[in-house]
Amino acid sequence: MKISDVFKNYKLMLWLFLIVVSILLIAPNMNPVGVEIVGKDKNSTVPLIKGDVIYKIDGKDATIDLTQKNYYTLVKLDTNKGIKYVDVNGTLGISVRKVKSSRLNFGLDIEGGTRALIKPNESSNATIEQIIGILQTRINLYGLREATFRPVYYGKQGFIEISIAGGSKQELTDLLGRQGKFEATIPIKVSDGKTVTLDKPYQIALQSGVLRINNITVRDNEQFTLGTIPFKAIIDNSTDTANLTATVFTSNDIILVYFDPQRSRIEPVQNGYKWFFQVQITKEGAEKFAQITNNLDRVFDPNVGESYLTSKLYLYLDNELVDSLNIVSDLKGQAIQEPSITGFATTMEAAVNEQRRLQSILRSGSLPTSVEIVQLDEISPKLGEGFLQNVLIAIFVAIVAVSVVVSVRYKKIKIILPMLVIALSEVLIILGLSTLGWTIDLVSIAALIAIIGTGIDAQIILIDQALRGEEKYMTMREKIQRAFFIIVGAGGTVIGAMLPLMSVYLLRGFAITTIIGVLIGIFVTRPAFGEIVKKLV
Amino acid sequence: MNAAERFFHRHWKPLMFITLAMLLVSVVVVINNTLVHGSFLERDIELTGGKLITINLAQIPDLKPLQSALPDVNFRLVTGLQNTLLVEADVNADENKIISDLKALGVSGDYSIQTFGPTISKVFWQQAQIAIIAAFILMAVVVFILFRTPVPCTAVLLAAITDIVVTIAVLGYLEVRLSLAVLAALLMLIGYSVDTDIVLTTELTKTKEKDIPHRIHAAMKTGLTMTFAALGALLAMYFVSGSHILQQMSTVLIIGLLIDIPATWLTNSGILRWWVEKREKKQTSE
Repeated sequence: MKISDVFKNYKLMLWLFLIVVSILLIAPNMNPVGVEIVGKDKNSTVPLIKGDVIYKIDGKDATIDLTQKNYYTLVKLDTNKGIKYVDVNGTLGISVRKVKSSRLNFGLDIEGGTRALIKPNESSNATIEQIIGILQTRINLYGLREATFRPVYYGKQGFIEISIAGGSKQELTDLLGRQGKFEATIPIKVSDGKTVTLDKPYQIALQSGVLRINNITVRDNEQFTLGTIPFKAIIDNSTDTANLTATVFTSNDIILVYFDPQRSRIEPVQNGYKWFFQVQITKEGAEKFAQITNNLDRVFDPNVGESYLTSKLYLYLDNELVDSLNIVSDLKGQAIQEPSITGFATTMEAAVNEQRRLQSILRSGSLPTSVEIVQLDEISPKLGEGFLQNVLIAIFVAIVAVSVVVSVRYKKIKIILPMLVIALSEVLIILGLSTLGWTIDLVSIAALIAIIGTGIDAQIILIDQALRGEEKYMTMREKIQRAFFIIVGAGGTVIGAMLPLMSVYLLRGFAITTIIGVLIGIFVTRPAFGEIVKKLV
Repeated sequence: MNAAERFFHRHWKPLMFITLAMLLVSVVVVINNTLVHGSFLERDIELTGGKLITINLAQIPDLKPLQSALPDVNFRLVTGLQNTLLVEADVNADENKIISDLKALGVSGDYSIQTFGPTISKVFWQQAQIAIIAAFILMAVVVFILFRTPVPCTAVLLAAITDIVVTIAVLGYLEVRLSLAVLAALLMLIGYSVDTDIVLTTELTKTKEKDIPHRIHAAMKTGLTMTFAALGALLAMYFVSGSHILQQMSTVLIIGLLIDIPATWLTNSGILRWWVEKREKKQTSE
C-alpha cells in the first residue's frame, strides 16, 4: 500500500484523524512537576487561586507533605504566576494535589478521595438543585476543598452524589455539617434614662452596672425579647452604657436574593466602585428593621457625602461576623421588604467579589431539608498510585496475550501487526474521548480490557471472511460486507445489554466505555481495518 | 478430518444435550440459591448494605486469629499480584476501631472504606434486577432484527441464557457474590456469548455452496480464535490487575467464555444443523 493511498482513503483518514485528536485530548505531560491548588482556607495568605501550580517551596520541589507543614517565616513559592513570598504563621492553608500527567480524568476509586451519595428527605428537582447550589456556595465561602456534585435519580427518588477528589470524610462532614445559620443584627447603644420605642416604649435604667428595662433586670450577655424582637445585652461598666443587639432578620426571613441587573449592580463612583443588590425579606423582618432603626440617629459622612444611621447592620454566618454595612439614613423607620445592601470597594474585582460573596451568604443559608448519607466511599490516594501502574501493565499483558493467540492462528506478521495497532488505537481513542465527558474509574478499565477482547474478535471475523477462498463468485467487497453484518450485529447486542446499566450510577462508566468502544469499533476502527485487509489479502 | 471431528459430526445429536443438561442442573442450583439467599446469587455488601474496608497487604496474615479477635466482622482474602484483605462489617460498625484493632494485630496498609446504607443497597438491587431483564429484552430484540426467523433466534437466545445461568451456578459454587461489578460482567457476557453465535448462524444460514459440516468447521475456526483471544485478554486482567473488583469481573467472563464453547458449538450448532438440514431438504424437494 502506498502512502498516497492512505490519504485518498477517507476511512483510514478518519481513523488517523481520531488518533491525533485523542493524543491532543489526552495531552500527556511526560514530566509533571509541582502541586496544583484545589482548595484554599478563608484565612490563607497564599496569593494564588484554585488551579494554580506551585513548583517549589523554599527551593525544594513542592510535595503534598511540604504544603501541609507549619511555617513561621516568609516562605518563598515558585509558582506558575512567578515567585511569591508569603508571610505564614502556621500552615499555608491550602489543599493541593499532584499535577496530573495528562488530562485523563480518573475516578475516585483510582485517584483516591471521598465520594458520598446523599439522600434529601424531600427530593423534588428544585430541592436537589437548591441543595447543590447551597453546597457549592459553601465551598466558595468557606474555602473548602473543591467537590463535584451530580444529581442521581432512581425512579422518583433523587440523590446527590458528592465527590471530593483527594478529600477525606472530615472534609465531607465539614461541607454538609455547616449549619449556614445567618443573622442580621443592629445594636442600639443605650444609657440610663433612655427610652427605646419598639411595639411600645421601654424605659432603660442603667446604674452601677445594673441594667433594668421596664423594671426588669437584665444581666450582661443575657438574651431576652422585647415585643417580637430578640435581643442580647452587652453592658459596659466603665461608661455605664450598654449595647442592646437586636436580631432583625435571620435566614428564615430572607425570601429572595436578586441577581438581575436592575436589582444587582456595580457602578463606578469617585475613587472606586459601589456595589448594590436587593433582597426580599418577610414582612415580620421588615417590621423589626423599622422598629429598631427608629431608635437610631442620623449622621452625615463627609467622605461619601451621604448620611447614615449611627449603628451598622452586622451580618453573621454560623455566629461568625462576615460583614458590617452602613444603613442609609432614608431607611430609618421604614418597613421595607426589599431593602438594598450596598458596599464600596476600590477595584472592580473586589467589588464583584464582595457583592457575590454577600449574595451567596444570604442565598445559601441552611439546607432546605435534612439529608442522609446513604453511601460513603473513602479511598486512600496511595491505594490508587500503585493501582494505575498495575492496570497499565494489565492492558499491556492483555495485548501480548491476544497477540500470542492470533499469532498461533495466522502466523503472518502482516496480519498480526495491523490487528494489534488497531486494538491499541481503539484504547487510545476511547481514552481520548473520555476527557470530553466521563471519568475512567475501575469498572471503566474493566470495560476497556473487555473491549480489547471484542475488538480483536471483530478483527478475527474480518480477516477470516476476507481470507475465505472457496466462493469464487463472492467479491472482497461482499466478504467484508458479510463480516460487517456480524460485527454490527454483535456490537448491537452489546450495546443493548449495556444500555440498562446506564441507569445504575456506579456502573455508568462501564456502560459508557463499552458503548463508546463498540461505536468507535463499528464506525472507525473496523472500517479502517477493513481497508487495510483489502490491501493485504 | 481427524478423529475428534469425525466423532463430532457423527454424534452431533446427543452432544447437543450436554449443555442442555448443564443448563438444567444450573437452573436447579439457581432456584435453590434464590430460595436460600433471596437472590439468584448471594448478594455482596453493595446490594445488602454494610461497610467494606479494603486493605492492601504487604504480607498475608493468618485469618483465624483475626476472626477470633474480631468476631463481628467478616474477613475475605484476595490474593494475586496484590494481596488484599476485605473486611465486611455492619453498617453501624466503627471503621476506625476496626482499623486500629487490626493494626494492633499486625495488619495494616493503605485502605479504602466503603459504606452502603440499607436504603441505597435496596435501590441498587432493584436497579440490578431491572437492568438484567431490560438487557435481555434488548438483546433479544437485536437478535430478532438480525435473523428474523424464530429457530435461529431462539437458538442464539438459548445459548446466551445457558452461558449466563451456568456461569451464575458456577460462581455460586466458587462463593463469588453478586456485586454491581459482577452484574456488569454478566451483562458483558451476553455480548461475548452472542458474538460467536452470530458468526455460526451467519455462516450456516447465509452460505449455500458448502456442505453443512464445512460451514460449521469454518465458523468454529473463527469462533474459537475469537474466544481464545478474549480469554487471553481476560486472563491478563485476572492475574495482573491487582484489583479484586477486576479479578471478580474477569472470573465471571472467563467462566462464561469457557461455557460458551459447548453452548455454541454443541447445542446452538446442533439446533441450527437440524433446522438448516430440514430447510434445505425441503427446498431441494420443491
